[in-house]
Amino acid sequence: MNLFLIILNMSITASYVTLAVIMVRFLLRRAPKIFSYILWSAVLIRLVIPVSFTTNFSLLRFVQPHVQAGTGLMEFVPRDIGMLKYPIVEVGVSKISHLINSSLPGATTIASVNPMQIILWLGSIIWITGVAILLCYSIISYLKILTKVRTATLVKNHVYETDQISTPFVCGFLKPKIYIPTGISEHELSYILLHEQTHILRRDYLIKPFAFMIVILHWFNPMMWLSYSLMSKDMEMSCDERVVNKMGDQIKGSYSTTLLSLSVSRNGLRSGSPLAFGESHVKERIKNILSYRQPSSWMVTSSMLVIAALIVGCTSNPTPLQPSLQQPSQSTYAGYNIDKLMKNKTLYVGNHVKVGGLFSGMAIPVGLEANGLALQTNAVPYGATINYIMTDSTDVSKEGAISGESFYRNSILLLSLIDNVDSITYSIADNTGQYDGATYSFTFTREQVYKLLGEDVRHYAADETTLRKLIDRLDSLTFNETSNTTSYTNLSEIHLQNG
Amino acid sequence: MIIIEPYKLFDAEYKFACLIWDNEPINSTDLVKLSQAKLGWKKSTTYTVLRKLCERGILSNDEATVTAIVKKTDAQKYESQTVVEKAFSGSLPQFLTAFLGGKKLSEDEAEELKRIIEEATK
Repeated sequence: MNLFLIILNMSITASYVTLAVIMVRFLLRRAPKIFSYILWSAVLIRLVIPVSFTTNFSLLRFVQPHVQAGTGLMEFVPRDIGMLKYPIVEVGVSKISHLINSSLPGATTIASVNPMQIILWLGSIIWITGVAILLCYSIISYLKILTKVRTATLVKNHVYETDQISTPFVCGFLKPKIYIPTGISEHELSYILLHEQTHILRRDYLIKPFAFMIVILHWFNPMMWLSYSLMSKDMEMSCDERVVNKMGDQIKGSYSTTLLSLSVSRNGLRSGSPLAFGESHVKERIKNILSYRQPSSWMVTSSMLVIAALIVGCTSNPTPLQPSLQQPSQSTYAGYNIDKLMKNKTLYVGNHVKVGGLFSGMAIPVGLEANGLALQTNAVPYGATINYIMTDSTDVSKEGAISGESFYRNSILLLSLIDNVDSITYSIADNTGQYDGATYSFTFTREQVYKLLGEDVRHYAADETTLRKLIDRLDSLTFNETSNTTSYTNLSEIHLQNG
Repeated sequence: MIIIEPYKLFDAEYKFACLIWDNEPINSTDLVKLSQAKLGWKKSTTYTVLRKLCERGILSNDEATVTAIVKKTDAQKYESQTVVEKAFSGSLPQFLTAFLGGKKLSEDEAEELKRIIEEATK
């Protein structure tokens, strides 16, 4: 599940990088194709490595999603989307984001599973099935080729010929061999071998299958298929250009004719297998060969600069818009760590990590020490119990008795931030000796809070501003015990348990 | 009167049979070494092709001695094209092939390219 979201986020990031590469590729259309070929490494890096470093130079800041501070991840689709009450996806283009978000189902309080989780689960299943099918398909087509070239006969070194293929290619991972169709003339052979040797020299026979495996992982993204196709074309063209460079301009005509005759006279194998090399994009390749000129040094230098800029700009993440270096003390509000509270907001009291995070972001009354957390999540009503040890009673006692006042605010906040909890219990064990080691417990239920405030407090958890409003409101509430004893006793039931 | 239909052989089969025509009778172990040197074949490849040609009645392998049944003059190479086409069609779905490999050239396009090449190299 999580893996699917990582892939999804990488895919979205890589789509933007693909767009950038296609634009730069257009700028470099007159430059040698090796430069266009190198550009694709930016897309490949984005498809393989989920984390990256941040720079101010990142081109992705135009589509700034949530860059998780400290993790280096680009998150268009948040990892905890299955847990959010209002799932939010930011793909970087606001209109599209809006369209997606309006179609995402929100959490319903009655259902035990968030519908978003079901969608994610289905998505993961479809994704993994697609990966499996494509993987099988490419393995089978690779094995088919292997059986075809098994009886190929030695020409020289690692060059083999066979009448079972119609187009030359390199095949193999550890010891790559060049396979050529039978009946190729001597001068044609020299071009073809130089072209295929260039593939071997550049490790293209490893790069291409690797890139195809990555495309399989991102099969749901058409942009990645487009990238793969264009990358293959740039790869072939740059090898063609090396042949012309090495053998001279005068061979352009006969080299082009060789390519043409290979694709016309034998129209058997369509060079379909992504794992081997074949003659593809013949028309464009021939036009490219004929128009190829040796690049000027000026063109080489500027192309290299453009490439370096694009690769750094596209493989780094943008610096987060709001610097995350705020001191914890700065982000506390009336004793509450707002950042921590918002981050740990949860739909489910069963999510003990988040609930624990919420408690640690709460203001703790002086004189109390936290002593663990118990969650009651077996059946409705769901509850959470927070245990404290009291070391100093001055702050929490009023007129000689333990007062529940210090816990009102915390409980109301927790009932706001934990969507499905029904009651919050504070259990305080006396360690001062003042109360004979007795344990006091205060229970606050959602109903009581509803009566007290006249509304459901959950909507305050929407964002930081509303949460601050709730805290302000709680501050202005007076729990005046002398004048308004009834509300106090309604809100908290004090149980005295003899320890 | 019996008309002997010439035996059609693939390029690899023909080259392999040539080794036997030139060296028969040949011990199968020697044949493996010979095809390793001349054709670059693994032992398993040699035995597979040998078995197939024996089944088709072209060669005979009698107690590790290989001889030819069909004379070199009666054999000829296949026109391989049609076979290749059948063997390879559908190795990837049509749309993927078209997408990844570029479109197949039509005759018109081939003519046009020929003209472009000629003009460019005048």
